[in-house]
Amino acid sequence: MINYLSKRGYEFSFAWIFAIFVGGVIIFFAIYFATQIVGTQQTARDVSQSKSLGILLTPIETELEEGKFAKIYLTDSTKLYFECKPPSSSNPFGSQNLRMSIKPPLGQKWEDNQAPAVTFHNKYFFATGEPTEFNEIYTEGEKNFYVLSKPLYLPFKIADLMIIYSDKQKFCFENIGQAPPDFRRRMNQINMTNVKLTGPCDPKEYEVVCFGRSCEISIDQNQKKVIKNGKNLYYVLSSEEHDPYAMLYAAIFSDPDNYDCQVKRLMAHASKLVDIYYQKSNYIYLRSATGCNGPEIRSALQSLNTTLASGNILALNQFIGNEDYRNLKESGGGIGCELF
Amino acid sequence: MKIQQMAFMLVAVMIFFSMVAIVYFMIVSSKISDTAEDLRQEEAKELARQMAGTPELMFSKRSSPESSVVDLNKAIYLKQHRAYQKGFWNLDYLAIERVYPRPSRQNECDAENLGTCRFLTIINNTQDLVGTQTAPVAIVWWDSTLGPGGDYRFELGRIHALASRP
Repeated sequence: MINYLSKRGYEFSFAWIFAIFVGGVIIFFAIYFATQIVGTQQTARDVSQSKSLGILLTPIETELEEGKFAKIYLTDSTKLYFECKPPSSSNPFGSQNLRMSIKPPLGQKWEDNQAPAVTFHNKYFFATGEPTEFNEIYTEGEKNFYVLSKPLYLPFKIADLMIIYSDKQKFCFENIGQAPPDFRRRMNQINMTNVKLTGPCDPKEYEVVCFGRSCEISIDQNQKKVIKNGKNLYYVLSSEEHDPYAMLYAAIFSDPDNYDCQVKRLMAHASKLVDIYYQKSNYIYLRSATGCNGPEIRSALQSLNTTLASGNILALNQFIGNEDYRNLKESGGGIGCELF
Repeated sequence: MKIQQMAFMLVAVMIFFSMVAIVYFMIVSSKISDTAEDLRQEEAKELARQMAGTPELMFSKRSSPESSVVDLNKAIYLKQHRAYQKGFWNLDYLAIERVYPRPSRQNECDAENLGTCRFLTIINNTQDLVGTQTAPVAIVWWDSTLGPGGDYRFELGRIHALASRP
């Protein structure tokens, strides 16, 4: 007879249940903390690399040179995030945030870890790339990033414009023959990597730059503007003693919104420099027996400051053509009277 | 009895792992602090080297093509602008020292004593100057006693820079 009431079977003791439960909890926490530690380590690495990159960019800035072109080699694929904050009352120079995200090893998913950005107030990065939801643009590079540093003079040095692009970005000038000979000569001299100076340009491979006709990046020399993504990026041709095309390079290689923001920052910076030159000019004038830095210089500086305060780059273009600007370029005239 | 043993064992395991975690985090945090300090010193070094070329300090008209010159007149007025005191260069300390010809006094420079002073402290946001980096520079200031109506006087100096704490 079959004994339906058999009680044979495996009995889970309390000790087993307790051990499985506690073991599960320990394994869960171990995995959780390991993931957190790896994430924190990646964030720390990204922040320290961003800071290192910022430091590395300092010697690429110019002193009296016409420009510098540098290649930054990184060991892993990297995304650089740029955010420009325009000047405000609490942040008079505006700021440039730089964030870096390095591709994790061993095929882990490359997630944006939102590492804290490194902030600069004295640097101006012009870059193009994809926008993010946090008002940033990012550009991804395989191993190399290229930096072109060009000083902007109006007519004294305002700042270095740092044009940054990656080895995944390529530019091609379709008809550089239409550009001013001086621009062609300078572009040839710089010899930028991933920038082709002769057409024809394949739009699938390159971002195409054209002079005087419509394409991805069009340059209108008469109106001194670059048309990119349907937006007008106005530039000024600065002092002829130095490379006058600094802002044109920046407009060609930059995201339109980033360019606008950086121009605002540059104008705010220039305005502060004008204040300093005004005080220096007054100091020299009051002590000079020969009338160095006379009232015409201070009047020109005031006029420049008014133009800069308007934040209007077209007004700045007009100022560059007038007599005040010429007075400033001569900066007091004569040996011993130079202002900058 | 078994449950009691197991509970004790669990407590011991937790204490062991906690201690391992504490040691690990101490090592990691000291490594991060070291990295931050190294980066801070590196930043100050690069800034000190490059400072003569910044628009706020450079005098370009009669500089040699190889190196720029720090304009003491501009630096004096720069000191008066509050906007430069906090965060513009990410520096806690920035000073220019006149070295040669040796200044007759050891005092701080202002617009009236440029002929005799030694130091011009532009940024001074800290008392702890450990880690300050120094770079030699050419300096220039406008001297009304030179030439018929005044001229620029070139001298040798040093820039001292200390990066802000992260």
